[in-house]
Amino acid sequence: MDFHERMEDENIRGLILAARGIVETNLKQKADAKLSDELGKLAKYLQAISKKLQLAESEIETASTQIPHEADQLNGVTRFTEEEVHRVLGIVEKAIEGHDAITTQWEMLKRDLLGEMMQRPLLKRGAEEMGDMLRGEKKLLMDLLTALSFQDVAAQWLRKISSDMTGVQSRIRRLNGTLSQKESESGRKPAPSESKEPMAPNFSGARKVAQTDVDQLLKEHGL
Amino acid sequence: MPSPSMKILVVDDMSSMRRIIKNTLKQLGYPNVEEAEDGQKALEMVRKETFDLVISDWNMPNMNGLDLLKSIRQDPKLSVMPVLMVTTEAEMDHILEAIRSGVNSYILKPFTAETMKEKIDKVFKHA
Repeated sequence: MDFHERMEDENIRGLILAARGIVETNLKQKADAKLSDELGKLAKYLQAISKKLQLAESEIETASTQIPHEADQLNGVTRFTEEEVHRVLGIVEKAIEGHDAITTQWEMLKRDLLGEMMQRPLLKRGAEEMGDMLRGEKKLLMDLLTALSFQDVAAQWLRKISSDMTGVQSRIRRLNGTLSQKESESGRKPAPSESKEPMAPNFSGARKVAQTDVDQLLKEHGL
Repeated sequence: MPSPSMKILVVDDMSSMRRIIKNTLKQLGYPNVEEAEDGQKALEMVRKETFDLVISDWNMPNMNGLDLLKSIRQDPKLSVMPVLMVTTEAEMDHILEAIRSGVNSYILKPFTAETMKEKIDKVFKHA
């Protein structure tokens, strides 16, 4: 084997070692080959890729450690909004109670003034308009009460996002596990929770299916 | 027509949601309401006491609303109990699954008191 053949042979062996090192996830192994131009450049490129992969792995690992904190923040939003909804509910309940008390008084007054209203059409009309207003106000209060259920929809969204983020973190850990060579002497095995993807809640609130669509489906099934 | 004295079980893991539904039912003339925070608790309650109507969410821990519905339908003593789902679960396939599992009616959140009244009246009209 002449000199050039020997050089190429060693460089190719070096390349093979470097390539094998990347495949077998040891990013620290250098492509230590003295090469002719093209093989030398290739080795350097591989070395650069190897360094970039090491850097990327490290950054990804750091970023993924933030995910549990961010997921917890989302859960915090849910807890906070639920507390506030309870506070608003307390106010709405009092408003409804007050309104019901006014309505009761109004009904009693109407009964007492029935005779006079029969003789005074204007008074009767005013009484009817007042009754309509009270009913309208009651409907608004009820709409406010039920509209607070938006919080549940929002909470479902947040739970889904939180669960998806945790799923992404698991995938990142698995990816890093295949990119880095674990110390076999440490005997460290990945924790069971790292290899399992959490079950995402089945939330489809984003799809704009309306109650009328549901009603149509119910009707088709005789309900 | 449903009776004002009927006993209703509201099942939802969000306490604010249970409070909203309970208030709505009270305003509709149904004050006799009890609560459960998940399907498992609800199933224990319906097996112990008599309820005239179950109003349940879908997504809950321990046992979700669909599994609660199926468990009720599979129990010979409970199989005809009216079940109304009130949920954010809006996928047509899931709604169909609930219908096939025997739900009596289905309400999407957020809802109105009118819708709740309409659905309850309809459930008891068919019963």
